[in-house]
Amino acid sequence: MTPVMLLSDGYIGNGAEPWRIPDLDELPPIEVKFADDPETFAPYARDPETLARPWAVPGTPGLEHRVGGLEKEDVTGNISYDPVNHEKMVEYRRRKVEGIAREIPPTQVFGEPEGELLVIGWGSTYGAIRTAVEDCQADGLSVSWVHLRWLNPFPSDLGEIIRRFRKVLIPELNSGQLATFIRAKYLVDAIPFSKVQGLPFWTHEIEGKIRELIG
Amino acid sequence: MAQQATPKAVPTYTREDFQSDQLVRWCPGCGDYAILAQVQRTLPEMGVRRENVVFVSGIGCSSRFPYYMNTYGFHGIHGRAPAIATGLKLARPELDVWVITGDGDGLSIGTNHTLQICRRNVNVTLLLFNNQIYGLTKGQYSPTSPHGQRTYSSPYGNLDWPFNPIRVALGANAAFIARTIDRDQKHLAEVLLRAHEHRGTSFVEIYQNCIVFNDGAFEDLVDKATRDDHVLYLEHGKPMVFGKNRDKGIRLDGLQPQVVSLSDGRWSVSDLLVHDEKEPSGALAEILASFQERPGFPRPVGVFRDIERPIYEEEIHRLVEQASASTTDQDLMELLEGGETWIVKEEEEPAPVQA
Ligand code: SF4
Repeated sequence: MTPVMLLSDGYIGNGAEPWRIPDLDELPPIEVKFADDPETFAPYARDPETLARPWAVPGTPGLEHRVGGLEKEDVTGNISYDPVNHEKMVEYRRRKVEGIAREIPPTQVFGEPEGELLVIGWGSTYGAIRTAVEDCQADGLSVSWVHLRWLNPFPSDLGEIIRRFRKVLIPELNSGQLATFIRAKYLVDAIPFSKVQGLPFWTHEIEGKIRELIG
Repeated sequence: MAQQATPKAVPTYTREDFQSDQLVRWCPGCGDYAILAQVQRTLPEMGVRRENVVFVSGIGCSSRFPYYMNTYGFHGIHGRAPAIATGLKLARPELDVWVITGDGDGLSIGTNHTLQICRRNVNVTLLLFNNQIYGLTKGQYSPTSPHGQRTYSSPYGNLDWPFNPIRVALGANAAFIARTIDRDQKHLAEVLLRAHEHRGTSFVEIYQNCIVFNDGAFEDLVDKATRDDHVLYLEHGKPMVFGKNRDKGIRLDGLQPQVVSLSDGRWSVSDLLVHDEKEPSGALAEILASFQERPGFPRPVGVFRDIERPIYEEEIHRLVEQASASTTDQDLMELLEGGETWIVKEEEEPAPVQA
């Protein structure tokens, strides 16, 4: 019961490339356990680990309840105007989303786990960054790269990875939104590198920037 | 595919069974209380199991309604209750779904959704509380506020021309369209029962007094001294007579309705327009809906239209069943692997490059 937003962009929409079709039998089943016991059901109780609420679907006798935009009391789900309860609930929701980081596999670092420069990318800049980084690595430059697939929450090992590099470069096809988040979250002087021309990055643009920083 | 609930006998409910334990937070004297009470009173007569009832709302004073019902409820997104309700009915056609909205929620930010659900004819009962003002946000003019009305956001008079909700619903070809009034409890109950009974989207406009920001907007229609001269109670198959002394009526002159006197000897009841809820084109309902823009005309309340149209969720499930019955190639993996696919033997992972 947490909304998921998948960010896409025009390049992904218009591009074509081979894509691995998953074997349906290998996909793990999505199992949902619906609440059905009127004795124990509390609409705003929470799973201690995930902080998810139980899910009772209409048609289940004795579990009638209301959900919606007004703040609810912890556990009971009664409408609540209590300021302290509100703060608690906001905190629950924040921690619930943060907790998704537990499910995110360890971040893959393309290159050495520490060094001069870490390039952080996301989305359709993958190809341009990868080629630029490979070229620079072949020339012996101390550059590594992380391509993020989860932006909120960030992977829990990201801060640690960032701290193992002297500089951080963030190329993105916008006005530097990811760089702003990384700077705010990890107190690192990440260098934004933006392009908003309706065109993807060229490899040489990113390579030029890497060489400018550590060449 | 939706599961059909096993039919169980419906327990005998009372009004209390549908009251939740939440403190009702409308202003004292708000018309919403009367509507809530009437819905809670009539639900026991509707033959539905409580756990199968879902109230979905948007945002606004009226949209707090689900919290006060001891049923399943979803206080949803501004203007989007019809979209949520449509999804719910598609997934669970056996549920008894109600949409609660208002003039601000359903005819401004949510106009499009209101139109779409009526057009599709999803089997829900939609109650639009019309108080002709934004109450929750404290008294701005709404999409149904009369032209020229002074409100906190139109101190020199409202420049907009109001929506006529009945005409909006007709424009979307809603199969059931009715209007009633919060304070007319008996009429309200009758209309609720009729709306619920109708299969398909039942659109009900309820005139609702906002005692704080638009008090008396419908006074002529509810005050005992004036209402009989200002309200036309629509009854299927009956000539349109109104007035304290039942001495006035509606007649049609070409395409134009006229208010005529039955006491001066010129016209008699047999000359009057006879109400027909089943009139298929909607033309009669359209004429009736226009009364509110015609000075000197009574305001019709009751069922404007009650016709049968195919029900959206039933059509969808029928389509899916038909399509699955006639398709031989039902293996999803086979479908995915059809077309331009090939097998890459050794997969290249973007393995860490060791310096
Ligand atoms: S502001 Fe008006 S509509 Fe809203 S609760 Fe108060 S009286 Fe009712």
